[in-house]
Amino acid sequence: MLAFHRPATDESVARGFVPPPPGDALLAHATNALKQGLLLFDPGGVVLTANGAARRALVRRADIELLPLGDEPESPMRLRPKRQSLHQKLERAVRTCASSPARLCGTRPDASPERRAQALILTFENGQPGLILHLSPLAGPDEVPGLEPGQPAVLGVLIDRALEPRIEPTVLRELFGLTEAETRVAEAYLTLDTVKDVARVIGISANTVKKHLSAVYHKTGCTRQAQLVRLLMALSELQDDRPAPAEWIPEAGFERRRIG
Amino acid sequence: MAHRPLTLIVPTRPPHRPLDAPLGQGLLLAHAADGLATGILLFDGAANVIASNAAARRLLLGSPEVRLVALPDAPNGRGRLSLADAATESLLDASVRACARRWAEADRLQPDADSGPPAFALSRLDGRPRLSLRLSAVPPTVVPSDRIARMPTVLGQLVDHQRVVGPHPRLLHDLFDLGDAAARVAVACLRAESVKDVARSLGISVNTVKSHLLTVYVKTGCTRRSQLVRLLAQLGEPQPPGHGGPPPS
Repeated sequence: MLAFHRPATDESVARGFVPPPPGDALLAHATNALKQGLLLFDPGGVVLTANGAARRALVRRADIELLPLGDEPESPMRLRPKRQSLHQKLERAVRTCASSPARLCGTRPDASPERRAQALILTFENGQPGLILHLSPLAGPDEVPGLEPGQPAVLGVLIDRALEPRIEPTVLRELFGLTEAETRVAEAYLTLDTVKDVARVIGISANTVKKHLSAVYHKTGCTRQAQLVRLLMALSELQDDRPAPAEWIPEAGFERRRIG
Repeated sequence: MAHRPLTLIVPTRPPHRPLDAPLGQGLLLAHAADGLATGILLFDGAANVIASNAAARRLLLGSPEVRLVALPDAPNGRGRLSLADAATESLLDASVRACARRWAEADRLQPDADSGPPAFALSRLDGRPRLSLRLSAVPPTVVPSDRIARMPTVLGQLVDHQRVVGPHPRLLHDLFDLGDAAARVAVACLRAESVKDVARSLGISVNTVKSHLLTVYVKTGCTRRSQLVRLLAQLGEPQPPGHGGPPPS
């Protein structure tokens, strides 16, 4: 007899068979499921933690690495671009972002979080930016970031330009009641700009595209193409189509146990 | 009949994704989640909200049609989503439960015919959805106490349709050599509906906006507004905490 592992059902959870772990750990679990890379820096530029997407994006790049500073899985890390000039630029950017002129030199307009936000291009691929890092200060209890080493001070969001934005087909149908054909046309505008291109890619006539497009505008309440693209981008999620390196493919963790 | 030993095959490891952050850093990662512009709600298998980030609470604050109702004795940020429309609420409940049951396939992305809608329009003040919630199953993982969290969870991402957060103007300078004023016009274009709106929001004349836009188009290689919007949305950044966010109306 083979018994396979079965997921806990919602009924068993409701009856309390699986006690929920603390909410913060679960939120951390959720950040691992995000497609956006997150890095948390202390004021000295040490990476306190990084979510799954950030680790996976960085491990694929040859010209930058995330070096652990200890042996524990939870050891802090350092983000090290191979290029020295970029390395210095990154350190400067984190420090500027973490510094708080408001606290150090009285109230100054350049102390606002928006003024302290920084952005950097970490890698170039074929002359195009590959990885982009946005840095924004994390507010502490009194609206200034933590200033002590080891305290989270700066949030880094890593944008991997190799990933394509995409919308799950059912999303537009559920939100705006688009038909299947209208959804296909709307989604084409995530990457295309002209009726002609959309018609060619989907394989329908330009007039059909126009007809569907006017229905899409009506149902979504958009009046111009830029508005539609903005809506689509807001609803899209990054998808990684690149094949995973062989060592990433998880082995099945099963064990045979004799019970009779 | 020959006696055959019974063998039980038991899982020793949950399906894992490589290179995930250790969950012992839960508090730190929760801090990072609080700095994001996207609202994050985490549901358990019974569709209770067991964790939420600051953006989710902020987005729900201004919305009379959907509220996060705290459960009795529940810590801050936990509870249930209560929608003004009871039918949608029960559909959401069913969808979250169905999504949680599918956690085992979460990484294999097999569309399931009876899994319920993965996206919900949460607020329809003017007849059109303003907030949407996208659901995705989160595979189980190991919690700090080294216990395997076999609890299925569902990640809900809350998005404000009208808000795409653009890049920092400095990034546009680095990428496209845009000057400060031109970069600001470009970013304002992402939020405003027309050149007139951009001029009003920045306090400059329509003609100045037009001349900056011309520079923006030349330097970014865009030929139309929709291309520019797409580019800027892709380069977008999180919203710094304590800065902006839709005002709770």
